[in-house]
Amino acid sequence: MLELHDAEEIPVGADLLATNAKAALHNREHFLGHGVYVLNLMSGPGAGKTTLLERTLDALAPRYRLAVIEGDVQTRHDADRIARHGVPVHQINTGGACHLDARLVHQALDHFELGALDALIIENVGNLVCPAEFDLGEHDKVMVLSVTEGHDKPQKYPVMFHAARALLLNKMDLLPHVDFDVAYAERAARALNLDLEIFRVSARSGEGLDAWYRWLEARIGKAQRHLDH
Amino acid sequence: MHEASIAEALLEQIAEAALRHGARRVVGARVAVGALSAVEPQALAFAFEVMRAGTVAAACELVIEERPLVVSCAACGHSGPQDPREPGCPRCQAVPVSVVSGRELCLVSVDVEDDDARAT
Ligand SMILES: Nc1nc2c(ncn2[C@@H]2O[C@H](COP(=O)(O)OP(=O)(O)O)[C@@H](O)[C@H]2O)c(=O)[nH]1
Ligand SMILES: [Mg+2]
Ligand SMILES: [Zn+2]
Repeated sequence: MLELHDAEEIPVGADLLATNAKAALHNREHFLGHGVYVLNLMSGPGAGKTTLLERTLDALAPRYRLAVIEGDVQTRHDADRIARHGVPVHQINTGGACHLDARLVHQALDHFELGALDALIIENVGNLVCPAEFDLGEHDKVMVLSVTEGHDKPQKYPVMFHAARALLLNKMDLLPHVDFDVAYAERAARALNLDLEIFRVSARSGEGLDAWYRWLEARIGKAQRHLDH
Repeated sequence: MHEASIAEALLEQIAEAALRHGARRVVGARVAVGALSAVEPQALAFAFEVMRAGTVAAACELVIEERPLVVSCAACGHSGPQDPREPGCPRCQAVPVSVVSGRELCLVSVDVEDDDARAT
C-alpha cells in the first residue's frame, strides 16, 4: 500500500538575513565596547574606494589611530597599497563571495587590537547590489559613485543608496569628458534618502576632500563621545 | 549576486523549523521576496535547488512570493504601490516617501511531514 504523508503547513516568519543580523550585532558590541568608529565603504568595481582610502588615511593618520579591512577582490593589491601608508591592514579572503558579511568581519577582528584604534575602515567588495544587504555592525555605510558610471545608478540600485549615510561622487576631474548629470544623480539619490550627505570629490586631484575629512572626523568624534557617557 | 548566501540562510531556517516540529521532511517552503530586497527570484530558486541536496529540504518545493513595493506619502497622504526605480510619490511626486512594504526577505512557512505521519 502506498504510504501517504499529509504535509502540514507551519508558519515560520523568519527573516533570512537574521543570521547575519545577529553576527552584526555581536560585531557592534565589540566596536562600541572599544569606542572604535567603523565605516563600511561600498561601491561598484573601480569607483575609487582604495584611492580615496589612501588619501583619507594620509589626511587623518596624524590625528587618529586608523586601521583597514580589505574585502575588495577586484584588485588583489589593495592591501599592499594600504600598508604603504603605515596603517594596520588585513585582507579578507571572501572565497569569491560578492559581499562581506558580519561573520567574515568578525574573524578579521582577531588581527587588530580594537582598544588601540579610533577608527576602522572596511573596504567592501566592489558590487553595487549585495553589500548593502549585509550589515557588518558598522556605524556608517558610505558609498562611492564615480562620474564614469552613469547618473542613473541611484534608480537602478536603490537599496545601496537607501542604506548609505554619505555618498562620495568621485572622479569629478573627469566630468568634462563624460556624460554625467551631477544634479540629476544627486536629486535621484536624495529622493531615495533625504538625509544623504553628498560630497563631490576627486581622489586624483584632491578636490572636495576637505569637506569629506571634516565629516568623517565629526563622525569619529561622535562615536567616541558616545563612549564617554 | 548573493542568492547563494540567501539560499544558505533559507536552508538553515528550514532545518531549524523542521527540528522544532520534529519533522522528518520539509516538502514545501514559502518565501517572500520584496521588490527592494535585491534578490532575483530565479537566481534564488536555482541556488536553492543546487544546495538543498542531502538536507531535510532535499525534496522541498520552493514557492517564491514576489512582494511589490508599497509606499506612503506624508505630503498628500497617498499610499499604494510604486515602481522601485521611480523616486517620489506616484500621486504628488513629493520626496521622500516611506516604504510600507517591499523590503522583506523571509521564510513565511514550511510544509512538513511529521515523523509519525501515517496513511489512513
Ligand atoms: N581620474 C580619476 N581616476 C581615479 C579617481 N579615483 C580613482 N581613480 C582611478 O580609478 C581606478 C580604480 O580605483 P580604485 O581606487 O582601485 O577603485 P576601487 O576598485 O573602488 O578600490 C584606478 O585606476 C584609480 O587610479 C579620481 O578621482 N579621478
Ligand atoms: Mg579597491
Ligand atoms: Zn504624495
